[in-house]
Amino acid sequence: MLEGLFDLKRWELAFVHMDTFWDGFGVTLHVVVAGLALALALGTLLGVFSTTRSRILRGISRVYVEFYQNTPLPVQVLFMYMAGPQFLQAITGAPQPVRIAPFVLGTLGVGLYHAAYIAEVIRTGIEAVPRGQVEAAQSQGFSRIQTYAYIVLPQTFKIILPPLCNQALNLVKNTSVLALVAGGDLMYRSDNFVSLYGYLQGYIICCFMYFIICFPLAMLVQWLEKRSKARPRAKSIPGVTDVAAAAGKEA
Amino acid sequence: MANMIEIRGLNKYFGDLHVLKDIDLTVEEGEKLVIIGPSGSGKSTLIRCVDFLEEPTSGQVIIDGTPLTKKNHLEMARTYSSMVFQQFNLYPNMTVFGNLTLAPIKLQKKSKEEAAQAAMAALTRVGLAHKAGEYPQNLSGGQQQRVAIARALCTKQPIILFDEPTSALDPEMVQEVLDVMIELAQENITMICVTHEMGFARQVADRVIFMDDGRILEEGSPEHFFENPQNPRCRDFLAKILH
Amino acid sequence: MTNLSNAALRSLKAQDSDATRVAGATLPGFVPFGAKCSTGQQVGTEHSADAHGLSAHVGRSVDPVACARFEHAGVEHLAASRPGRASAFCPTRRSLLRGLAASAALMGAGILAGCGAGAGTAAPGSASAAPGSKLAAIKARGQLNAGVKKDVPGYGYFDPAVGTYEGMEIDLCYQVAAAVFGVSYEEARERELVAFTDVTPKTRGPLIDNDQLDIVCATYTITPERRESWDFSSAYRTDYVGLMVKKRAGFKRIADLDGKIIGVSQGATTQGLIEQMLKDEGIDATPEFLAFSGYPIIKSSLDAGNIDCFAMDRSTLAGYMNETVELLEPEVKFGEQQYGIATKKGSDLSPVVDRAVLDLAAAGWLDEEIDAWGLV
Repeated sequence: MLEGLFDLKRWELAFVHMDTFWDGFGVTLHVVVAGLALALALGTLLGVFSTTRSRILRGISRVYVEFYQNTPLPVQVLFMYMAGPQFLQAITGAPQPVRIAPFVLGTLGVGLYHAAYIAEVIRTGIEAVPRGQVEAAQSQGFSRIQTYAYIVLPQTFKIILPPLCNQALNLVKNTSVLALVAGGDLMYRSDNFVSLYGYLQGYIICCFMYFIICFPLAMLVQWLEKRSKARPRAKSIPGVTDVAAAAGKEA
Repeated sequence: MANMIEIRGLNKYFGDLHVLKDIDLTVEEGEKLVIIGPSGSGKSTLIRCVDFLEEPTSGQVIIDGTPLTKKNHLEMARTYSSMVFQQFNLYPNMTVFGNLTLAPIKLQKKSKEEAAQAAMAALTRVGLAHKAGEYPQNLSGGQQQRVAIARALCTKQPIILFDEPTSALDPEMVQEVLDVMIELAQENITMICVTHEMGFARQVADRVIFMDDGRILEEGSPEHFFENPQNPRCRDFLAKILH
Repeated sequence: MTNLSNAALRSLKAQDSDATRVAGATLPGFVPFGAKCSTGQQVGTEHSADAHGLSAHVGRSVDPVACARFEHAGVEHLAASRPGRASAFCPTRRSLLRGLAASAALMGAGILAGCGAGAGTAAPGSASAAPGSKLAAIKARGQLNAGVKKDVPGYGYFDPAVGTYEGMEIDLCYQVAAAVFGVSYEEARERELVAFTDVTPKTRGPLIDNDQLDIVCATYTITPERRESWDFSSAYRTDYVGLMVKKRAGFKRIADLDGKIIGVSQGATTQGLIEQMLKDEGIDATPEFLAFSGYPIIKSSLDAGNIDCFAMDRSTLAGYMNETVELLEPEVKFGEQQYGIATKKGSDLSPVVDRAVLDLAAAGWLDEEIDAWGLV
């Protein structure tokens, strides 16, 4: 079996099917981008919820996070896949079950799942912002939403960017759950290739392509971690810092 | 002169802890009020109530004739009061310039040019115009507190509240901040200042209040205070702090 | 993905046999080993004689041609069917085998057991006690060990409520037992001359190899690759690919599948077979294919409405039939594959089994069974 890995003919056949792999790569990439957008938006919202004073909002966030963190992603995706069409048929009154496109299913699957993790990351990030920041904003008259938007969240993001990128990394890999439901993603195409021809080359190409997406992200994590430790350098603001410097020289 | 701040029957509890006990206090427009007292006396809580950072358990804080409520306090803060904190609380994600222009642009809807002009004027007053592009964490404590004061100035509210502005500073930086505050006191700004800096109090204050155990125990002019305090606890406290 | 190269097909191990996985590889002119062997009527008679009793072997003349054929098939232990020489051969071989068993217990165990059983229960001096004889071993044991499906209704299905197996292949096993023991079909059933074991695609080959099973009758598709490892009877059943659809979807013709999604099993050749059929039948339809990792999820996807059609061997589909689904145009037959009964390569049982299948086909019994079990 293993000597087949070095069989040039098998590699040749695998490369002939490269288009299929790239198609899968494209699907995976689309799901990653959309899933990440959803996870970030929902995760931020839930993370903010969990730090508010409202018991209801905190409760919603808690239940959501606990549910998604403590159930396996494949089960969630399979459930949506199997129950979704008839559920949608029931609420839309369509004559036939309403299918969920693999792209949508994948986006929802990894998006909702990682939103839970991102919510936790955001929550710890927000809690890491000193209380004085909120007080300063409040004393200036910023509403809570403005306070979060201008002051708390930007600071939070700096703290949480490295763990957030780690989530993105996991999200990329978790899109392979789509293969379970023949979602046309990279994993699905590779698996099909391998089961059709019996050549493990398919998996190697598959790994390589996931690597293409993940490795830059991993590098980004490292860079961000390094950057977050460094002191920020002074910014030059046109019309402000240059004028002040000139004035300083004159004086 | 008109009453700028009126505090009536103010009580504040933290759980079972009775921090402020039936405080009544009036501050006139342009008055410089200094509050002194031992830690835990409730003085910080009192000025935080004026900014509604703490919600009174009972009683009222009336600013320029309008009682502070849950609903209007942000609007009131925007219009009337700004606060300078012990820990500076500058926004570390923004430059000094960003710290100064955020509220004028986002809250007071001023143009960028207008905000920039006001910011630079304020920075020049505190002597830090050349640090406009710097990030707060690259500044010394004294510089950060001066920026914080400039930030309070930018929004041009008639009241500035100082909550122990020099307590977190290294001793050699205290004076630069006090100098700025003394300079500021020349203006018709209503200032309430919680501090242990008796020199500052003596120089700037129109009136001094001594608080202990959630009550105002003594109040009067600086002269009266430092030369002839009546309350034994006040005398005790002053003796400790001055020698 | 649609065009399977020969290399690809070869690489698909003959292990997994259900299905169309290897159907495309079935050679048109293929004749199972057993068929060749049993063309001589003498063999048939010999075995029917066999069935009357062990002692019948003694002194009986055997057609030399038939024997030669067996030997030609490379089955050394079939020497047991030469009664005259049996007594001379047996002790030597037995001791040899025992020696082997001692050094390689695992390998020798099955053969030794067969030999020992034959020797122990046969009448003294009986030539049929010759070692290596499958038939002798079965008779000595008193039951035919058969590997069957337990989850393919109509073919091999274990009914947990009743605790028995049922289906066409189960009936066929009793027919084989009847032939082996020389009794009537009814008697074979009555006396329970078959011991059933359920098999999966992975286990059925090895279970024959290690003699735990005498025959495997479990929707086992005859392929050239498999013929190299096992003997197959003539085909008792030709199966086709079926197109299972939901009744509620309202498909009437295969052409209605144009633009619809067909779920197939990963690694199966079903997609190619369907596309070929569409071409052959001149149906203008271009369905989309999705490959899943197992049958259950294809069926769930069909039920959920994620796919429009579940395409697979009809025998497999039978296991998923219910009142909400139907086969689309079952009269269009394509993706043909033939099921045969597998026996140990070169075993003296193989010709008996093949004879039985041929006789049953000739007698019309197989057709009756197909009707009786409602197979399409």
